[in-house]
Amino acid sequence: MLSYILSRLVALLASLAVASVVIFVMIEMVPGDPAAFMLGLNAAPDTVAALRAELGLGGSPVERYLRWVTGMVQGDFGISYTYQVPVAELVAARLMVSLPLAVMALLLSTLIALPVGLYAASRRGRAGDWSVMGITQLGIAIPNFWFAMILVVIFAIQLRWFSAGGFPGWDAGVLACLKALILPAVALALPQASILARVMRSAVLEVLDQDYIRTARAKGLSHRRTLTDHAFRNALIPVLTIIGLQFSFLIAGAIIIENVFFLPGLGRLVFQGITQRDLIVVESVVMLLVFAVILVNFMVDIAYGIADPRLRRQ
Amino acid sequence: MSAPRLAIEGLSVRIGDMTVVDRITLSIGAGKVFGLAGESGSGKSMTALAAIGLLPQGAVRSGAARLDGNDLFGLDEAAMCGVRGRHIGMIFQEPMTALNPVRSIGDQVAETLVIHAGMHRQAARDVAADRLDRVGLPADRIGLDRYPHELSGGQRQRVMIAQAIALQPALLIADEPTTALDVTTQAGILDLLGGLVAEGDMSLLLITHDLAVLAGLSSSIAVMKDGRIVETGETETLFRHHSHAYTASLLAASNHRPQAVPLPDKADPLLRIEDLRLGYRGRGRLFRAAPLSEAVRGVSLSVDEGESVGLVGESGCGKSTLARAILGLEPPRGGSITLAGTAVTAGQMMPAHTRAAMQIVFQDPYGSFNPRHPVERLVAEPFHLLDDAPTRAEASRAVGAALEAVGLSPQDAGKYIHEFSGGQRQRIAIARALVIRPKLIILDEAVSALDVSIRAQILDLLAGLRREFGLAYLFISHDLGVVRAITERVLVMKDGAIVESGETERVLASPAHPYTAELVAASPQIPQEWVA
Repeated sequence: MLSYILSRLVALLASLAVASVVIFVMIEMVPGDPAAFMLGLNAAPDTVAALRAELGLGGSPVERYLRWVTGMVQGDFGISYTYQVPVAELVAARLMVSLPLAVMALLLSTLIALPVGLYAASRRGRAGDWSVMGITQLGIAIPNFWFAMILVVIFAIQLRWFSAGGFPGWDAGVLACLKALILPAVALALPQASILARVMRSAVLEVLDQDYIRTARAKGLSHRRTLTDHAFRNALIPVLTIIGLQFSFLIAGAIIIENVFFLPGLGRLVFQGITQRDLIVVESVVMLLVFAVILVNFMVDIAYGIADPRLRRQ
Repeated sequence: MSAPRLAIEGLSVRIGDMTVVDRITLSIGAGKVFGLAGESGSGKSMTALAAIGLLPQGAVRSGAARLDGNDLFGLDEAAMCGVRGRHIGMIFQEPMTALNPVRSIGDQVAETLVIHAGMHRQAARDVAADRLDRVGLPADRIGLDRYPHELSGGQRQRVMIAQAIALQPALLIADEPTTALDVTTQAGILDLLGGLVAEGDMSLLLITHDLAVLAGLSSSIAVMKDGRIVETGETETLFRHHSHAYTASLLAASNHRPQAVPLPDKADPLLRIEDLRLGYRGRGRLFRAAPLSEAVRGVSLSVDEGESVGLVGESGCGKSTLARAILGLEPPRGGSITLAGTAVTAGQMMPAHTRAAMQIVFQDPYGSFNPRHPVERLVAEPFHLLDDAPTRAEASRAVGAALEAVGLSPQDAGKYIHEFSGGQRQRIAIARALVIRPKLIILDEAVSALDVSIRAQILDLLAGLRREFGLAYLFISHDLGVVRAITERVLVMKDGAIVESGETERVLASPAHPYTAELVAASPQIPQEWVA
């Protein structure tokens, strides 16, 4: 298992190195000079040049790449062009919202989806299965911003259980923050849970056709115990893949939900960064997201190894 | 007289409108081995699954089954769960897939004890260690924490047996327990099953298509065909005095030998292999060279034009790797292969006419065809190897002729592969090999997956085609009986080397190498005097 983890770790570092080059090259190719953009249309050329030097935009691309990477390794992501504060601080503050939101949404979706998928598979072709399939179809089809607005109308405006948006900040207490994240987390989790439940269902159905399920039944296990003791863990492999993909998406893909609920998350930061040519923010956040995706994949790989002993000795 | 261990009375199983088991009655005595024989689709497995209440969804059973006088069919599902695994153990054919891949073997054997005897996990694992020891997997050699993928097929089947007998059930049902195993492994498993019955009071219902397996083991046999028992009796009596024509035809088919093909007076060597070495590098570790595993170490052999040569050996001995190398699919690490004077080289460099001179037929007639192409296109595939590719009409005519040669009709060209039975599919595979008139056909376990009667037909077909077209065969098989029936010369392969070769009759009758002797001894055989 240890050598398996090490090999995955090497793959992680290699992916990061490749990703950083790709991101750097792509940002280099984006048209628009941040210095010119900040100074406006009528700036004198030598003012622009001076600002470029100050922003660290001078030098050859290789020099700039190395400066960027070594800075990041030391935790220095540079200074935001528009906000004039260190990018690291900016991102950290946003991450304090996006990360808990993503984790909550993922927990919610997994906790709903796995039992529901298992249930649907065990009732294959019967009423229970049909209703799960129908509901999940609906869950995938409903746009989540619309679902979010429905949630706001019911739980914030009518029942007044939650506030309609905004984030109090962690200084206001953990409970208050978690409460503020519940509605957005539910809105994010609905489509994810629907997809995951369907994946779980088909994974379990596939496993139920396997010979070792028949073996388990021949040993005297009831249908239910066969499901929980034998089918569940074998069905987890494809499900883990989807969970990993969903988590990566949830960290950065929540822009619309963040906007609906006025949450200061990463998605909004990237959006603003792009519109204001704050390339250093974009670059750093994209790199961070890539890092998150690769890290999640690494954890999914480790989870594979735990779930399936056959993968450990590679 | 006490009640029989298992009594099945008037059992029928229906799936939709089809009756797959038709009013069968049988009874198995305590401590006895009962053989249920028949070809695929005869209803053997359905009978067993009906007895333990695990029929597939949609199948309906009627009749009665009693275990030691207690009605089984009247029990509800919960009560039946208490019978399965405790009073009736069952093992299945596919040892590779019948164990849960993500749980250790110790846990899987212990599970039987945990659910029925209410044992705690640790106590159950202690008993499991004892049971695994009993089936020949001592804990100090094969740990309880091993996973199925770390074991061989034979070892997995032993784990299956250990979990089925963990609670010493009154009845063990074994459904083709050795069909997927090598002969020596099969002999070991059959010995084990026989020993388990002999040492206790357990009865064994042994389901198999291979009558020879039953000859040495069971006290009674029932022969099934189309859902019915056509004949039943004590083993020796049934072999000696069978009255039903189907039993006779089964026995004949299992010993079938096609008419001998006369060899040409003077034949040129067709395939020549000299000191061939094949292998692959495993995955290296940091600062350590990748280990080299040699699948074939220094094999030399030759096949003359029109000759049929057998290559026998157990799985993993390098037979199939050798076949791939001959086809130019595997680059050799040393030595040479020549076919009709041209060197066989792996990769793009190999001339098409050399490829066209040899074709292969695989074991799995379904898996080796693209299910979305009509037979015409499947059979016409090798034409791209010819320098002057035939026109559509010519190709179509050639395909029709090839289909006729293998006993199908030219009209079958428009059908798809799923419309054919296993035997017909293998005929199509042979037609595909035949269509460009190769000199050599490699048959890699080509009849191993077929029922005995179909197998006999295919062997006849192969002999006939050889006579007609002067083909040479390299017949790769683990089944000595088939090799005896269709080859003149045999090569015995073990651990990547050929340990013995010579005339098939002589080698199999008086083996010189101990390994050949072991193979011959392990092959189940019906005593000569029973069928004389």
